Amino acid sequence: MIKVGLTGNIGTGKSTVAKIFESLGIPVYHADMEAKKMLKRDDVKQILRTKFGGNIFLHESVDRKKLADLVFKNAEKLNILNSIIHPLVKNHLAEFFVQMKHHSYVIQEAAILFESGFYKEFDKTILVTCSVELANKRIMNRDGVSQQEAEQRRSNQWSQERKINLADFIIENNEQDLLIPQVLKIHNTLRT
Amino acid sequence: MVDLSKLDLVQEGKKYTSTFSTSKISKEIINKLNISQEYVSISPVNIYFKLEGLYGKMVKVRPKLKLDFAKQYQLSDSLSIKPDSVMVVGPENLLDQITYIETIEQEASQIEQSQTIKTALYIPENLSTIKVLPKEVEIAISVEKYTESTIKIPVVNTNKEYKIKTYPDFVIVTYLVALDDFKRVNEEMFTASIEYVEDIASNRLKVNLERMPSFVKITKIDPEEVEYLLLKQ
Repeated sequence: MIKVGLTGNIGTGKSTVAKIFESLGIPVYHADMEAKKMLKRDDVKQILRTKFGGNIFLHESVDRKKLADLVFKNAEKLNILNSIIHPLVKNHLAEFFVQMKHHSYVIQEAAILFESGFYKEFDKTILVTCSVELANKRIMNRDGVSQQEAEQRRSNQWSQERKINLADFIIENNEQDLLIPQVLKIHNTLRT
Repeated sequence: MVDLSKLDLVQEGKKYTSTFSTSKISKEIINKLNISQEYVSISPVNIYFKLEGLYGKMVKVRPKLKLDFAKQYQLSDSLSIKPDSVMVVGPENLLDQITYIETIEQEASQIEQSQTIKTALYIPENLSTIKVLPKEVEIAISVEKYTESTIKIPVVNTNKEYKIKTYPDFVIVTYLVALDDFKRVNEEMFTASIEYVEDIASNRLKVNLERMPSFVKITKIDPEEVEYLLLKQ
């Protein structure tokens, strides 16, 4: 079984690409979604309260918007959050791989695959790219934030060019080129 | 002055004609000016009159406005015209050419509050002999402050014969809504759909907004087209 990491900067449309792979019958592990689930664990909440204080909580639950506002404006705090959540996700992912071992390949979708160094754990990596303008537009539309906030969220990620050098496959999600043929081409390569 | 009531009229269908000899008024002029007849010469010798009855009918008024709204302001209701119809009076053949009457074009810019514009009605030169009652109308412009918002709507397939997945499987709809109605808007009020037709040549399907609340104005659907995969049933 080939382990494939699927990544892309915020707003590039990696979730849409992941859904196409899922339609083709490929198991996709959504690291960001699983990370959100981790925030509901009592032991995780306890650590977060110690590190970031009680202001990020609303009725005993982590207020993800407040947490995002805090960490996206402060790289050090983002690193602390990642150091808490990533090991947990990593363990969960290992279990997922065991369960899906009969598939020719499996995918993990993660926003900061390269930044975290986690890409080294994978046999292949796929990077979804698009222009900065298009990414900003998607973030603003999807999350209802200003352009300044959208740029702030992107600023903690590596540049696309830096990631292109590390990726095995590139998918251009620029609204002109079709996505599905690009995905099918990679799918056929990984299956054989 | 010619007294039309004393003319001898000859009927020709719905019209009347009459010929008035100007010699009939030369005597009046001589007496009035106290001059000799040899100094009076009237041209033309005859004046020809064509007369016909006046008719009237009610016609709708169409406003001709160029409205430019301040940012975030829009019409909250259709324009209200008082009166919305006027009486036009004139020869039948001219009235037959009139099905509506427009107002004189008016412009208003940077509108940010409701207002009433008083405007005259426009009568083309070729219809200048008709009378319009009243000559002016009032146009009420109802304005409300709108806000722009977006909502994420799933894309549904209306062709039940095929199982289709779209990418993305949602669209972001941008709309304008009056501030008072803002909280009423929810995802359930919208339906965004694609319609797959067999043997379609395109790799993308157009997204149609089938259903939406009557009190919003759609400004954008993003994306307008989605990619799709046909799946085995």
